[in-house]
Amino acid sequence: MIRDMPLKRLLTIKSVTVILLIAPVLVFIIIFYFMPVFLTFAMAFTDMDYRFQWNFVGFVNFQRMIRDPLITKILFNTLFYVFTTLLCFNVGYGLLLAILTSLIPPRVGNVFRLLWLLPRLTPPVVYYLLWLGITSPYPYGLINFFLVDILGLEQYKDVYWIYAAPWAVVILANGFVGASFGMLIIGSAIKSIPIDVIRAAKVDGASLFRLIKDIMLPILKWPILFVTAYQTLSLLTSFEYILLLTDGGPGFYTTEVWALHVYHKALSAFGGWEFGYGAALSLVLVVLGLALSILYFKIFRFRELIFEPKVEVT
Amino acid sequence: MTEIEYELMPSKKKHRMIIYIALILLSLPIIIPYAWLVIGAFATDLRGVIPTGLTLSNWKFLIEPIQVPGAGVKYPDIWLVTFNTLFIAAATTILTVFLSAFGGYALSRVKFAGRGLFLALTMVLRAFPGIALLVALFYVINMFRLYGNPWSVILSKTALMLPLGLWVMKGFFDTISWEIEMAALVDGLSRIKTFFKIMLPLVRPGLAALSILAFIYGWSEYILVVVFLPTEKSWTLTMYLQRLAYQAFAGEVSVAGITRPMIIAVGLWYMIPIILFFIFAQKYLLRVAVGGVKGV
Repeated sequence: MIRDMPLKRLLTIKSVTVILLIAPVLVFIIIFYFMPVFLTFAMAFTDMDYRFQWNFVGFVNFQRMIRDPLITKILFNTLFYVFTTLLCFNVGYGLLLAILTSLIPPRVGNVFRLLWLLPRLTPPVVYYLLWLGITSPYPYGLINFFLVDILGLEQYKDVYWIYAAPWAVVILANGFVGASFGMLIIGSAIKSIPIDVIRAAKVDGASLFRLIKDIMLPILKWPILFVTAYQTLSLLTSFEYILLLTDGGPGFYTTEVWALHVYHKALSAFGGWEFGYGAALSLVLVVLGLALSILYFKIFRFRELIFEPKVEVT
Repeated sequence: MTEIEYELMPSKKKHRMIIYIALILLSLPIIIPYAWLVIGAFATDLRGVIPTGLTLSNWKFLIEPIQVPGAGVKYPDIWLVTFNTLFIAAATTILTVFLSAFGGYALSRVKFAGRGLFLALTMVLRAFPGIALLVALFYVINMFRLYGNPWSVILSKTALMLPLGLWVMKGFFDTISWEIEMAALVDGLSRIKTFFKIMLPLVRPGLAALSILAFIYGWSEYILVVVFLPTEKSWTLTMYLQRLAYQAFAGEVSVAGITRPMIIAVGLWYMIPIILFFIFAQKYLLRVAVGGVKGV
């Protein structure tokens, strides 16, 4: 009878079962991560176009990249975009929201937290529509309606903000999406500060300002570092909002960033389907992405997340 | 248990008011555009957020396909487009949730060769932005003859969601006490039966949270749809709305037959599931949303 079986035997799991549980996931990871990483490396050394022919050309794509005078502009655009958005919004605004929402009752705080999640969970095209509404010329655009009808600044009547201030629009639009990440990560770190620490500081007469500056911020150093690290990668590789808002323009490569350039060269109908060159461009991002991921992984001490399971496999 | 907010809250009412005002001011750039979306969808026309009149005629697109007489453009039927979107969202959700549940269970409960490596790998993949592989992904999709097929988006999106899903589900399985499972096994249930009958029901909150997230990301998907599904018959709401917005909103000239409030109504139509989740599933959203691997 089953009850008489040794416990160990009862709890073991057949390796076939384990394989059945894990195999589908593995197949996905191999097809959609391993193969593409390998292919990116290989394609980068070909001149592949829409005919998908493997014609190895050595380092031609990389020479072309280095010689392209526009690549410097794109590189600086990318750095400017990533670090401005990161500092002002993903970390700055996020930290501000995290602290402010922790100073009010949790029920009300959650209303604001949910509100800030909206942009993140809104379909990008709807979010783009919102920004068209914000930036359109008078009398439709929200900014111009405010400037002209409320402040009476007639000179802004015909300004179309996506064209007039493309970088501001790109950074604000991405920033309002990005702020929620910092807000929630830092917010949950605040929630886990030992309550006695706060009480003790208050007994010692610390003001709210001192509480934030001398108690909270030092504790929050770690989560802030995590947000910075994690979001650098996301910002480097995400380009959908820029594609929608400015498509790298207006004019010549004004807001073109690296990831968007990959898309333009290899995947858009106007780029000529240069898969080889596109792969070379994305190889830069892939190598950077892998290196940074492995680095974070080391910094944020992955071992702590694993504990040994209780079942042996036979 | 007292929550930390009550310790940090300023004792003077005046100071508390300042915090509320600051939060509302900081949030206005979010509040106003969303208010604009809701108001605009029912307005005859708009000045800022103020409607000149209210109407339901913006929603005519639900009954008859939008046409632009002069340009000879006819938009596909909105119900077909909505169905396409729903299909991608639903299939992505089902695949993501099942694969994550199986994998997450194995990672949480079973000690098998390569487990540590597998965990490390999926952890790196969580930080690694899969979208950087888009060019090579295009090659893979083409190789499997999936270009133009909705499954190209479904499978790619599922793959992008998996590292997150595995960790979410592993986390939920980790919290379930081993004794419950052991009791079922001792009572003679097979491993598989225990998984489906005992374990899955216990991690229902995790399944719900992950389903909601996967559904929202599948429903909203933009870049994969643009790259892999160019033909009109497989359009999702993303393509439909983008084309409308390009034609009549972004430019200075409005195209005959398409008004701004009409486009806003299509936008609100696209937002309906998201709005429903925000009303009915708040606690899940707050729990998993930033686990998200989506872009920014």
